[in-house]
Amino acid sequence: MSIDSAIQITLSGLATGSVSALLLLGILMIFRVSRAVNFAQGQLGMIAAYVAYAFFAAEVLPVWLAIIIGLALASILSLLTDRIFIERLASRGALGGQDFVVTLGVMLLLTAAAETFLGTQTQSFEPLGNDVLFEFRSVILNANQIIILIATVVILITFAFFLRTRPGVSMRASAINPDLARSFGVNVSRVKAVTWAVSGLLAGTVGVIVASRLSVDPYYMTPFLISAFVAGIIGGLDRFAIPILIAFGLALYQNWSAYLFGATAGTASLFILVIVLLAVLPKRFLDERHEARA
Amino acid sequence: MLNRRVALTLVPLVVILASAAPVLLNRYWLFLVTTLLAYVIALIGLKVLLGDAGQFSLGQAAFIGIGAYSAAVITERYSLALPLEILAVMVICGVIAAIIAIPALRVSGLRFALVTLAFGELLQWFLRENKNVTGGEQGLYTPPMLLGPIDGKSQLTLYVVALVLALIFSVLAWHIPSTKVGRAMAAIRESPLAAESVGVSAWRTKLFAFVFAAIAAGISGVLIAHVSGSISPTSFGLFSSIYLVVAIILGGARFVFGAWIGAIYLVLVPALFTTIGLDSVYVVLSGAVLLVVIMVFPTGIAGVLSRAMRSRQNSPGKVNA
Repeated sequence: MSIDSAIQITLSGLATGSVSALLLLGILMIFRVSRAVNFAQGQLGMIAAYVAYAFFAAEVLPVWLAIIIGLALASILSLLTDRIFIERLASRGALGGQDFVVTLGVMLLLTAAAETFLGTQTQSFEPLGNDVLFEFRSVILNANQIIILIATVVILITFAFFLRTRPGVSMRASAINPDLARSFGVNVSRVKAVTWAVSGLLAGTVGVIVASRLSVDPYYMTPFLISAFVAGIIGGLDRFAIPILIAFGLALYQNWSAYLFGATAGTASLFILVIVLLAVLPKRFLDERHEARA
Repeated sequence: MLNRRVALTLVPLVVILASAAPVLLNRYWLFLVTTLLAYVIALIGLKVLLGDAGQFSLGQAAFIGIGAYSAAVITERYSLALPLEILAVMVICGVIAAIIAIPALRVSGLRFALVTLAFGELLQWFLRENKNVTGGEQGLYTPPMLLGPIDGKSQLTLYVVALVLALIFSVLAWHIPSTKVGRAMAAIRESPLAAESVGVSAWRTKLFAFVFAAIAAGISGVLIAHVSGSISPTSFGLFSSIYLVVAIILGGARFVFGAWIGAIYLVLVPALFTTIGLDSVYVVLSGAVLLVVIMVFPTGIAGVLSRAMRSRQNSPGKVNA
C-alpha cells in the first residue's frame, strides 16, 4: 500500500474518531457534574437531526434555521432530563443506578417519538459539505470531514482552557464537593443546568454532522454512541483526556481493521479488542483495585 | 420479598388461572401467554444477576439468542427430543457464560455492562456473517419441538412446558436468597470489599449468578424459538437487552414476582395496545411509563405491591405500620 492510502485511512479514521470524541465529551461533562451516565446522548443528536430534517424537508424553513432549531431542541431536552429527573433523584440521596434507568428511559422515549412522529424510513439529509471534495496528491477528504476535524480540535482545546477558568473551576468544584462549592458561593444547580444544556448542544451538533454523512433514521446514532461508551468506560468516565484519546485510537483501529480485513471486520474487531483489553489489562489500569469507597 | 402468607394465596391463584388459560384463550392469546412465560424465565435470570448479585448486564438478549438458534439447529439437524435439547442448550449457554466470565468478572459496574454489550454485538455479527448456519439477516425457520409420542406441534403442549419451566425457575429464584450462595450475592451487592474480607469469594458468587442468568435466558430462547416459528438476529440485539433490563427494573429487580410483571410489560401490554389499535401510542408510552415508575417507585411495581400488602397485614393493632 502507498503512503497516500495510509494517510487517507488515518485521516478518515480521525474524522470518525472526532464524532465519537465529541459525543463522549458531552457524556463525560455530565458524568463529571451529576455522576449520571447519559445513555440518551446519541438519541438527542438523532432528534436534533430529525427535527431539522422535518422542517427543511417540508420547505417551511431554510436549512440553517432548521438546524439551529434542532440544536436548540436537543439542548432543551438535555436540560429537561436534568431538571425533571436527575436533579430530583440526586436531591433524594445517592443515585443508586436509577440514573441509568432514567437516561435509558429518555433514550427509548426519544427513539419511540422519532419512530412514531417522523417515521422509520431512512431519509437523506443535507450533504453539508460531503459533496465538496479536496484532493491532495491522491488523498481525498470532503469539506465535512475537514470541518469536523478542525471543529473538534477547537472544541477540545477551548474546553481544556475552560477547565482552568473561573466557571471551569466552579464546574469541577461542584462535581468534587458540592457542599463546599456551595459555601464558596457557587450555584451548583445552575452549573449542572448549564452543563446539561451544553452537552445537549454538543449531542445535537454531532447528530447533525453524522446525519449529513450518512442518512437519518431512528437508530443511526447507535454505533457512534457505542464507540463513545466503549472509549469512556475503558478510559474512565471520571477523566477527560484519556477517554477522548481512546475514542480517537479506537476509531483509527476500527478503520485500519476494516481496511485490512474487510468492511464487516471493523465492528467485530472493536468488540474483540474490548474483551481482550478488559481480560488482560492489569487491574491498576482499570481502577478495579478493591478500595473502600464512601 | 413477598412473604409466605401472600405466597400461599398467590400460588394457587396462579395455578388456577394458568390451568384455565388454555380453555379460555384462543390461538393468538395462547401464543402470547407462552411467549410471556418464556420471557418470565429470562427475566428471572436477570433478577438473580441484577437484583440479587447487583451485576448490570446488557447481554441477556444475546443468551436468549444463543438458546433460540441452538434450539433451531439442534431440532432441525439432530432431531433431539425436548429434554435433551434443553439440556444441550443449558450446557452451551453455561459454557459460553463461563468463558465470557473470564473478562467480565474481573471488572464490575459499567465495565461489566460493557463486556456483556461487546459479547452481544459479537453475537450479532456472528449471526449475520454465518449465513449457512444462521440464515444471516433473514434468520431461520424453527421446527416445532420433538417430544416422543406427544404432539410437539401443539400450542397447548408448548404452553404447558413453558408454564412448568417458568414455575420451576420461579421457585428456584425464590429460594436462592436464603441459600449460602444467595447470601453471598447480597453481600457482594452491598459491599464487595466487606464480603471479600469475611471470606466470600466474589468471583465464584458472581460466576454462579452469571451462569444462572445465561442458562435461564437459554431455556427462554428454546421456548421462544419453538413458539414463534422463526427467529432473526434483531430480536436478540442491544435494544432487546435494554428492554429486558428496563422490564426487570420496572417490575422490581429484588422480587421474583417482578420478573412476572416485567414479562407482562414486555409481552402483554404491547399486545393489548395493538388489539385496541393504539400500537403507535404504546411505544411512546412505554418510555414515559418507565420514567414515571422509576421516579415514583424506585423499587419497581413488585416493591410497591409487597409494601402495600405488608402494611395491610400489619395494620390491625399497630399505629402507623
